[in-house]
Amino acid sequence: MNNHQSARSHLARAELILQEVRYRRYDLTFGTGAFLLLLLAFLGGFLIYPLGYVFREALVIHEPGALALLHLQRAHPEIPVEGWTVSREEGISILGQLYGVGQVAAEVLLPPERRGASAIAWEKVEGRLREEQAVHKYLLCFDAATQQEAAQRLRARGDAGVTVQLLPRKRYTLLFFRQMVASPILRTCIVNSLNIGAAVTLLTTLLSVPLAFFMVRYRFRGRGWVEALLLVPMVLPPFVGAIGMRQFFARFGSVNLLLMKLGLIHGPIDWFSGGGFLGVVILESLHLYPILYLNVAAALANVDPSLEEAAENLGAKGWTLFRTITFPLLLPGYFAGAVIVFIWAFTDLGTPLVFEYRSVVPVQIFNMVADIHANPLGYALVVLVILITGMFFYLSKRYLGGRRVEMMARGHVGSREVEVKGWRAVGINLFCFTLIFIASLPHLSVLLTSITQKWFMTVLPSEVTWEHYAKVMHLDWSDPAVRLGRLPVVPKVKGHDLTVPSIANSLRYSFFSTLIDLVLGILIAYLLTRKRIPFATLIDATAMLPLALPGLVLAFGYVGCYSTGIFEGSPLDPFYKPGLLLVLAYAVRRLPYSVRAAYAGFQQTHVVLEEASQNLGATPFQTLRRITLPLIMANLVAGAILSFSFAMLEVSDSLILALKEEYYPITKAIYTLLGRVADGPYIASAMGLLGMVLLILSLVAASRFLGQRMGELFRA
Amino acid sequence: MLLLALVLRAGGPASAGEAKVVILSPHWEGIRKEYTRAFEAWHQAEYGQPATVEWLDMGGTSDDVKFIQSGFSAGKDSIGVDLFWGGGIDPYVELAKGNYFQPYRLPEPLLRAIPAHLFGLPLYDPQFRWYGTALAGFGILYNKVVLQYLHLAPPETWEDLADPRLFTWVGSADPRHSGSVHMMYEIILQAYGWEKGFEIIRGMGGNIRSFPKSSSQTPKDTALGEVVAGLAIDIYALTQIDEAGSDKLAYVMPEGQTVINPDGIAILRGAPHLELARRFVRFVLSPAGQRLLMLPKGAERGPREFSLNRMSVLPALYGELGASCTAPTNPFAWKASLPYDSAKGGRRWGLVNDLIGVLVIDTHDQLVAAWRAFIQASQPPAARRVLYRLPLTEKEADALAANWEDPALRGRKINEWLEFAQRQYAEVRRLCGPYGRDRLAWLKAGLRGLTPALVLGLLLFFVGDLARQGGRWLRRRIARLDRKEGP
Repeated sequence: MNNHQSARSHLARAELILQEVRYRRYDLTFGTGAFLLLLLAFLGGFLIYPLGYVFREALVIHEPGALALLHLQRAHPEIPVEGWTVSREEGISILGQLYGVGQVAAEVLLPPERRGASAIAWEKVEGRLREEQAVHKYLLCFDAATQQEAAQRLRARGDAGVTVQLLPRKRYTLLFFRQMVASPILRTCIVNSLNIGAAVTLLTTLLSVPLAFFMVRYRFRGRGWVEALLLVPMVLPPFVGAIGMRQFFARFGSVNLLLMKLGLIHGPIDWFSGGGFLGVVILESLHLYPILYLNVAAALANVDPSLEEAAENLGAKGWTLFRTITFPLLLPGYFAGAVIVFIWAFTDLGTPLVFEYRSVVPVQIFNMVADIHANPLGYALVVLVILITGMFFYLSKRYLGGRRVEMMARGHVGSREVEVKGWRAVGINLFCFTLIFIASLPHLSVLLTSITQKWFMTVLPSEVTWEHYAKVMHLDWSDPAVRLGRLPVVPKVKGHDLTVPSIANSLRYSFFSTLIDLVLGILIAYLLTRKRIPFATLIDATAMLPLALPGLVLAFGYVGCYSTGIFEGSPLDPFYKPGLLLVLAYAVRRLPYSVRAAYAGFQQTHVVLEEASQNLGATPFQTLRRITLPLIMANLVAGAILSFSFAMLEVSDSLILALKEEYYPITKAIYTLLGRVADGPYIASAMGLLGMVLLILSLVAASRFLGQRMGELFRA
Repeated sequence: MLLLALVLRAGGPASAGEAKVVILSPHWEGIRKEYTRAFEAWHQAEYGQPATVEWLDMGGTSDDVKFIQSGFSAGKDSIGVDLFWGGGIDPYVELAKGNYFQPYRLPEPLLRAIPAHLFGLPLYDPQFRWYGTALAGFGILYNKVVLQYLHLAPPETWEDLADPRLFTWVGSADPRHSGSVHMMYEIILQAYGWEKGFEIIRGMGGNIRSFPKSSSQTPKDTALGEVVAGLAIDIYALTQIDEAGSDKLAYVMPEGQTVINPDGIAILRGAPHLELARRFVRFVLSPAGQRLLMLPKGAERGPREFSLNRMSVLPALYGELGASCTAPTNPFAWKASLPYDSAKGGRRWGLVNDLIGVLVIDTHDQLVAAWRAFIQASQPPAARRVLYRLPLTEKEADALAANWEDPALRGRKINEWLEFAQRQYAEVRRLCGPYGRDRLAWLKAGLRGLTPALVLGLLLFFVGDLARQGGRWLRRRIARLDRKEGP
């Protein structure tokens, strides 16, 4: 009985404690609360707000919205506009905005006795209106009754042939989307972009699936080399590679000249006919296949060998085995990679720009930055991109995540690796090395371009020089000390040269964005793993959001929302000072990676260690500094190195946000140099090559810290 | 957020006290660098204070014009930019009409040194809203080596670029983006007349490989051997020839068929640094500023890093510099030039852009297909009559140009022309018999539409799925509420 009673009282106490715990749902001390607020402000201001702004602008016609429509029509005259209407007040406001004569001009519509205070100016204004015939057309942006009235009055005054134009009155509207689809030009762009995405996905699949099979299932001589070299394509933004590839594949470029010299062809082959579609697809594929390869290889390595063995025992072989067992098991990993590849190709800005293949969505969006506040179609296009991206990520998570087959034995248990020798090994090596060779062609071409002194219709440059590197570094080549390798002090550089300041800018931006990433990464991971905080899932999801968000989208949103209203002219305004926004854009783009790195670190470190430290009297901050951070340092450093180097070579954010020359980062400087006639492309290549070296070094450094888990960074 | 913005703003906007001038310009880097350096030195020497130059780059001339128009359209008095510089003369003529500029009269000695006109083109605005700062010539850059390979004679006139033997070998940028390229098309129209001019533009368009956005791309493509001849402004062509050697590339300005065109500069309305902007204009038009255009790099009082290879607007300077002058020619010594009607060119600027855009660029694939069939069928006269038909006469165009600002009219016309051109090219191919047929057209169209159809399907499915999920969630929610309220 006694026992029973004590058990009951224990139970009661346990329930009480439980209740108390339930009551205190969150660990909200002052410090955590402040952290949380900071975090919410950051994510809200630089992720949610720009996105929301894009959606709002795409869906809303606001006060002078009818004006926006007029501009829209100016920018896209091919779009028919019919059946729009606005109220009289709105019309008056439009007039004011359009011609700066405001109220006065609008009063043309009013009968003389109602012409109010501005009546004195009226005669003058009417004279001016007669001069500016165009005004008459906009006078009729009114509702039906006013319109009729106005038309009658204008007829009475002898103004025949006035165009009647009606503008919308609604606030929320899908009009811009209808307009987007109605424009034949934008329609072509959407079709082209989707086709680029599909073609790149297809090509990378053809390259990387066999590759993954060879690498995971076969043991052959040279595999180590292949493994190391496979990641080479990732170290060069494809638009830099495009410079050299144009030189290689022009009609009288290196490849054709070589073939003609060898007597294999008689006339030049037109490689890039069709306006550059092929060029874009090939370059993007060569850049992206490692991503798909890493995903497929990982999925393949995880396929439970016992399942395949069981199928083999039942008599399945070769193709049947692949089709019924291996392929379905590969599918989730494959799709995860394919979605990244598709979205990347669909939203890539740099490559089509360099190939002058302008009928694609990203280039259109890029062009629309110039009149971002007058032309809402840019926002509509961005929303389309968001929808398509979101859809792919959602579908791949929902339909493939749910079908994930649990493996009984994971990893290399009883691995199915087969030793290959003889001609098959040679064949596999041939495939791999041909692929690696082709994939390194852009790098090779950039290297060649960067040392070109003279290259006029010959297979290789006829004269070479290192001068362009000196120019990048702003050294005076005529100074013998430079040529002898004794580098003098870099001359004082003013803010308007491109190369050195852009490198300095990039270093600065990357440093600060990495810093932000580090701090936020640790913060978010700490809050998520060690504290019970409100909105935990929400913060987690938001911090991961940039993974699914093309750089283009965020950059466009930034330009849109931080160049208007209270932000206009503030240091956040990209038209005024793009530096700060570039730092933030880089930081937000890489945030998921640093959060993930820190999160993994926290999870691998047992909380007991921290509790022990706190028991010994350390404050939470001391514990973080002395215990936790050292334990997760490797993860953080690797994440930071990668963040840094990707920020250095980030393309779409840089091209869109860097609107002033003194704030150009490396990539925008490269793009600008490409437009220069004489030695521009050579210097651009030299800069690209330096960037490439930097990225290689940092990848090597990061892999030292991360070891085998490198591949995880490229998976969704 | 709001507080933050206010705090940021306090240190913020371009206050007029700062000694800098903000210039919106499509000029290439060489000009920017040299003028930045020279102006800063000049300002220091002249006024004893430092001043800096800030460049705003929105892309090509048309992008800059778009930026100015949309900036002021929101009813603002200033767009925070002081100067607009470069991009020919016509945009300035057009923008001056829209009250975007702040007039500024140069000091008398400077003004007197610039002639008011050159072959009918004004070198500055009579109301002093803009000034021409440099002269540009227009012509054809060609690649001698490829020409030899193709066994062709060098082009001498614009008409030569429409030669069927140059099929796919001609280069030109998009006139809608590049002011200088637009000028060349307008020159062709004025040199040959409306009808004949469009015949040439149509044939040339059929020969043109693609229409890049930037006018510097064509000279580069020519040097690469990607095209054999291309429309090029003198500076780009000369720089490229410097690079490759005059035995490989050559430049020709069609005699009597081209003009010399000033490059404008104007102070924008509401310029935040008005005084500095005026000084900049003064500097650019002074002999010190003009010398930068014509001296080779490294020369005394010349540019430091880039030879700009341009022609000054100061006639006196050509004699003064003598042999060290790098300008391609002295236009003030020319006897005659095409009587270019700048008023007409400016008036129909937008219309001609849109017309060429519709007839040649947006329908380029169809034009090329029709042109190829036309050449292969050895130019049947019936097809020729159709191919060169135009949707409107010059007179109609001039009448329309006056109202071209009206977006509704413009949209309607563009759609009409688009239909016209598409019908026209289909008709030409029909008339060329077997050469005009494309057996695989349906397959190509199907392949092109495959991905978009798939994605559209997925999108619909996605939206439907979201709705279904949402419905399920709602039902569950309601069920739970019911349970709570139930007994």
